Amino acid sequence: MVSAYAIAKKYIFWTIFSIALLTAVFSFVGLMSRVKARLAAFPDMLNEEIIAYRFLLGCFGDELGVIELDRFTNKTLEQCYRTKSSKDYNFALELVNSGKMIVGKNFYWKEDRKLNFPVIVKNGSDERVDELIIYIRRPI
Amino acid sequence: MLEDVIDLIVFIAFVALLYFLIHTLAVSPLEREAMIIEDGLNELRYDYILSVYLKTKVGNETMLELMIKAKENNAAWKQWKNATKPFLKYFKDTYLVLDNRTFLWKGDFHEGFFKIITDIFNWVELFRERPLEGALVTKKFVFDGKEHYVGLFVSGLKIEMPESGIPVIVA
Repeated sequence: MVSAYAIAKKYIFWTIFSIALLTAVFSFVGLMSRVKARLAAFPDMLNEEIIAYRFLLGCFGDELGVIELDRFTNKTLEQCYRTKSSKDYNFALELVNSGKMIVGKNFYWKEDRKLNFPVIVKNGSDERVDELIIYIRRPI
Repeated sequence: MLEDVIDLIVFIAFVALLYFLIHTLAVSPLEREAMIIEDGLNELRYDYILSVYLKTKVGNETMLELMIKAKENNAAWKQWKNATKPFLKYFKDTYLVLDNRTFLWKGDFHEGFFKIITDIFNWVELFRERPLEGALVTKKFVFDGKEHYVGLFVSGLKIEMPESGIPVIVA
């Protein structure tokens, strides 16, 4: 006949074992979902910077890094990068020396990040170096 | 009872070890991937900056033509310095090299006493087969029938970049 002590000992062991096992299972599931999430999602930095480069590669001019001042308008920005809502990446662009700023339709509040690039601004036959600030608003 | 406790401890230790192993195998490559992305973006960024910089016009010449002249001509060097000042903020902590001449050292003009010291190192560099090895961005230009190489080195990259191989022909 099994003693009461042996039965109690068995219950205690299996209780602790079950707790340890459950903790291990949940930890693995948590770890795996974190890994999966990180694998599936591109980092913000990559997404926004790749999109931002389109403004330097022929959006407002025909050459790399060249902006034609008369094409630097909100309309061109919208044609070049269309957004549906603030759930997309949104951008505002500023030409520092030329004192011109254009803002995307769904760019609200303050930027999350800004990128500074040198650009060549063409205004008719006049050509000069300017600084383009790209303000980035991440999806809200 | 003691045996059961030991079994439990061994089990918990095994689970912890397994967790650590999976974490190392699954998460570390992701972190490395993030570093590669960051460095890739740096390369893209500096490639763009260098391209715009070199084709910027100074009078009737491009910055590249001015740099080629500035290698041996003091007046051209001064002119190049003035034209480069607005770009210095983009070249922070970088080394700009044309052929075997260093133009920017850690984002500042490479001249004076400091240049004499580093010229010794450059002189040693001449004996190396690939003086621009390790540059983040390398560009090859053909100007007046001569080949010129521009290299941009960036300090503080998180991982060592692979060799760029054959430089890109831009002009």
